[in-house]
Amino acid sequence: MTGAPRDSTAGALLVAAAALSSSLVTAISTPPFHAFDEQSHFDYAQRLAEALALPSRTVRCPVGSGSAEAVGLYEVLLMRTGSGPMPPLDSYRAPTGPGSRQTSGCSSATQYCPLYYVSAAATYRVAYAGTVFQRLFAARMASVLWGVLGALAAFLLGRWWFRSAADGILIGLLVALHPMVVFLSGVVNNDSAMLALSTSCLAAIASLLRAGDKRRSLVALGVAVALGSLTKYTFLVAAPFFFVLCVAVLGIGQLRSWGLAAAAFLPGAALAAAWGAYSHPATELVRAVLPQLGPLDYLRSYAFDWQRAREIWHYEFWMKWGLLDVRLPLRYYRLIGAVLAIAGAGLAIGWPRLDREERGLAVLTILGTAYVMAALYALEFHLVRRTGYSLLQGRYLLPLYPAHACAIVIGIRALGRRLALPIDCAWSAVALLACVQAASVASLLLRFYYA
Amino acid sequence: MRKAGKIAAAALLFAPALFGWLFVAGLLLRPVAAGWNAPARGASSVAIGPLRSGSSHALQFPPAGRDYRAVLLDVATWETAPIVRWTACASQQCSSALRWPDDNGTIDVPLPAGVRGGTLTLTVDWILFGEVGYWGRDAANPSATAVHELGWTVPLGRAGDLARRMSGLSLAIVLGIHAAVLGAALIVALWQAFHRHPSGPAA
Repeated sequence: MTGAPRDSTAGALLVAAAALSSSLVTAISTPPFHAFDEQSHFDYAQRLAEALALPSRTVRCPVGSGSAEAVGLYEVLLMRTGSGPMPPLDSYRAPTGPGSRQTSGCSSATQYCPLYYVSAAATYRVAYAGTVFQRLFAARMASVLWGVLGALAAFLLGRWWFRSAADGILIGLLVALHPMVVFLSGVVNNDSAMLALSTSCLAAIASLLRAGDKRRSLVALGVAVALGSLTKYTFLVAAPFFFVLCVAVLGIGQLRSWGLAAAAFLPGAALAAAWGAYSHPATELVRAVLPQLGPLDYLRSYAFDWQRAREIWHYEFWMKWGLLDVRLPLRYYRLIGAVLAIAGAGLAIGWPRLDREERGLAVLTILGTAYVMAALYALEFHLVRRTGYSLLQGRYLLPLYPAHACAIVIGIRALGRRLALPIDCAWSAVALLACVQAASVASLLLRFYYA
Repeated sequence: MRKAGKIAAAALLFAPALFGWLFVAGLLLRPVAAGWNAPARGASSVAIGPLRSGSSHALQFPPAGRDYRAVLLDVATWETAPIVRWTACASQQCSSALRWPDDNGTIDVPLPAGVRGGTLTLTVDWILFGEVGYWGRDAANPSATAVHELGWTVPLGRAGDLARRMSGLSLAIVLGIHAAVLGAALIVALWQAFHRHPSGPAA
């Protein structure tokens, strides 16, 4: 990559500050384990930090798995309260003694590669002498750092793709203020690392388009893919999209482009295969009664249930994960939907005036989104039949969100150009996400602390 | 396109953000206006069927040492976006409020002064554009809650307590910095929108 101009520094700092303050507010105000599966991810990090060992490989865990202190905290603050307000912290008396922190690490997270958990264990060790509250907060700081890294990668993506530092800020803020990205960057969850590295992939691909020295960009892409492959399986689902985008940027008609892209992606594929061979998959966990589900039944009951599709791909994609998380009022989703509709209309109406790169990114993003959704549905069909558990959550589409952000900007600008508007309306998306972020914080405070 | 038309079109493209900030302002002001946050609660456990215009319902609340300011209702709607006018009466005194509830959201109906418990009659004066299903987030968990007063102090105080226990950081300082950063992002967004031509260098 070539060096960014000096005016990039202030923009990068603003983007980093937005990501840092957003995720920090989430980290200090979201009660312990009030994000789904946070206790499992924390358990993994605690196992690494305390015993310097990987967790047990099975996901079939006895009831109450985890360290005594974490299980106790989980039960007091979550199991007894359901979705209601958090009880006083004094109601929890942490077990003491050397055994209270010991855990086998057996949880639903044990199937994952330790890359993210090493970072969480490192920040956990910083607060090693502290209470379980403080060590949990320290583990959350790893996610905060990944969130800042992802926002900076988004800044570079916008900087490279649109060839301006201001557009770097635009894309950076669209990623840094995405409510689900912020939430995942403020709690213990390997999604934060996965999102940072998928955004880094897209930034490296954009630099391939602009940089004079493509070798450095390819090396950066290879590193991002390799590390991303060690985060979460949803990265692997999105990886073919990154691959095709990479080939398209290098020149889809040239055999050399395919070879270079394959070279960049091969280490990641090998690492993912190696970890897959070592780890035990989540399919170990099987329900007593499995549904007799044919492909058509699945399509009718799961994929083409429009209400479910809206829940997953709109509400959960933006911020509606579960009972214990921060749910935004539906009116905010409608406003976000309005912005998406404006961008879609802009792409349709302004299509003849878009240049080749803009059309390419828009088409590939739309096709990539359709592909990832289809792949996740296929994966869910397999899992439901084999284990009885459904799979889909909207956040699994988030690796593509930085590309969505670019497409949204292109669409809104196309509409603005078609209407010959004197202002750049793409920034309205930032203004909306800043307001959604403020609403998220206010909703979080009311939800968990109002009683 | 005429200048006025262009301004109107640009305003339309910014409309989601403008409405969003109006919603946020309402969210921030609502606890103050409606008197949320007080811990004293009295829950009505009566599940009531679909609410029609003109229907009345009696709710019982425990006696309290100070006035109840509002009753919070968990209502169930589904994409119907009704506009409802409610009237709450106690001891011959009534107060009314117009509310536009979110799907499965909470609405507040202010109470007349001097209500310290007992029977409260809640009347649905009229409903436009839809139907309010029943009390509660679902039929099995109805909820109507009477609250006293205050504003954001209870949530902020409790979150601040957690912040101190977890990180030693001051919630007020972190929230203040966050508000400043969001404000800076907003200013940059508006500045860039009005000072960069949409065609831009790469468009």
